[in-house]
Amino acid sequence: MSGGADRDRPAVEGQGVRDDHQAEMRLNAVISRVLVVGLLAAVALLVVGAVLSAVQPGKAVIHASTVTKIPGQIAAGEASGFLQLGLIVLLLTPFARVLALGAVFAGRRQWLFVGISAIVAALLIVGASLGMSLG
Amino acid sequence: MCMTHVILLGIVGLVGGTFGAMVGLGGGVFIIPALTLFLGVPIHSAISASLIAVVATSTTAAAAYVREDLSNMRLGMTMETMTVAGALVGGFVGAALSKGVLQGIFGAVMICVSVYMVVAKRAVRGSLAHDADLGALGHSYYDRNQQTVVSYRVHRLPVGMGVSGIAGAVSGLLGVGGGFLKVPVMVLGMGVPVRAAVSTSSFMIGVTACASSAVYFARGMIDPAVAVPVVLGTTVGAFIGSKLTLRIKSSVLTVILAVVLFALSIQMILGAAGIAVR
Repeated sequence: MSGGADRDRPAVEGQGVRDDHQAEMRLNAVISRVLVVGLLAAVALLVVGAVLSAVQPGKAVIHASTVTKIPGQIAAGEASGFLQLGLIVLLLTPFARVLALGAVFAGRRQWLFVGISAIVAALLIVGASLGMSLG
Repeated sequence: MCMTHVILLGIVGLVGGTFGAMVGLGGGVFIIPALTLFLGVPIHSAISASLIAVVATSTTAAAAYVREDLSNMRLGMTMETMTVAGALVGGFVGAALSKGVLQGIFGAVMICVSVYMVVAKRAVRGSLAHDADLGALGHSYYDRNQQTVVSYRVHRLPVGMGVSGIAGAVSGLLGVGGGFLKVPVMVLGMGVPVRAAVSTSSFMIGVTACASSAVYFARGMIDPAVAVPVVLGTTVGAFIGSKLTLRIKSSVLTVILAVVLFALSIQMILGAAGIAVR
């Protein structure tokens, strides 16, 4: 999949540069797709939750439930489950993008950037874990 | 909560997302004071909603910028190591730092940076030759507005890494995204064209904000009644902002960035003087 920039880009470079650019555009397509899928899924869940909140005014939507309660809430058609799952999907999307970048770099044997991606992912996990545990 | 309030929350997100995507700052600079001052949202709910909104802005804008080949993902990931590490360190030492002093220092620095960006014409650098060696972190992209391929090499990486670390460390303390430091240093210090700097910052800030947001979520500090309308508005706004960024001139984008940075610096200096604006 090539973006608009690829279509409009003039073919003034040499073949080697052009090949590198095509490889970059494939990388861009993978990462853009990860972001779009995560974003659309999150927005869909949030919209469903918002609609349910509007038609179920008696239901409490402002409370923090544990992750394990979310499937039951969704099965019961409760707005809270959709809203919280939507937020979780949204928050996991940047992390998924880091993992996807690392995987693509690994496929290309660009080990420096595999290492950098791994460091960012590890720091995110450590940071979130510390923040949660320290309260 | 009445429908009017929900719509106003969505509008705040829309405006914040539009400008946030255009200047690579995330939109929290606008969202937090708008929520607290005009809509009476408690500060913790406003900050948590803003953090989630930054993730939404980053994800929406980055999807467009990455597809258009504007974001320099290798540079972004490299700088992100220092931002996230800085955020971790800042989380532990932040309590020992004076928020007022930091606001005063960064406010003064940002005034100088914003004025310099407008006065100096270095913000829009000339492109390198198509076959030039761009190095491991250099990049090229097609500028629709100039209708030309812009190629650039990244300079002074250690400076950018250091500033990224500082941005991560202070962003949580000041309640703003690290983009307010990373965009200027990329443009003025590292030779990255302003359009690429904005796009790369948008790509980066979502990662930083998602770690902080996860903590707020786990502690039950996110109010869905506030966060959801803001996030939905932000998503639409960031989509609009990313489209505008692709079409306006780099010089106009530089001026918009400078104005936003100037407004942020005033906000910081007022905060340092004890005059709350959020």
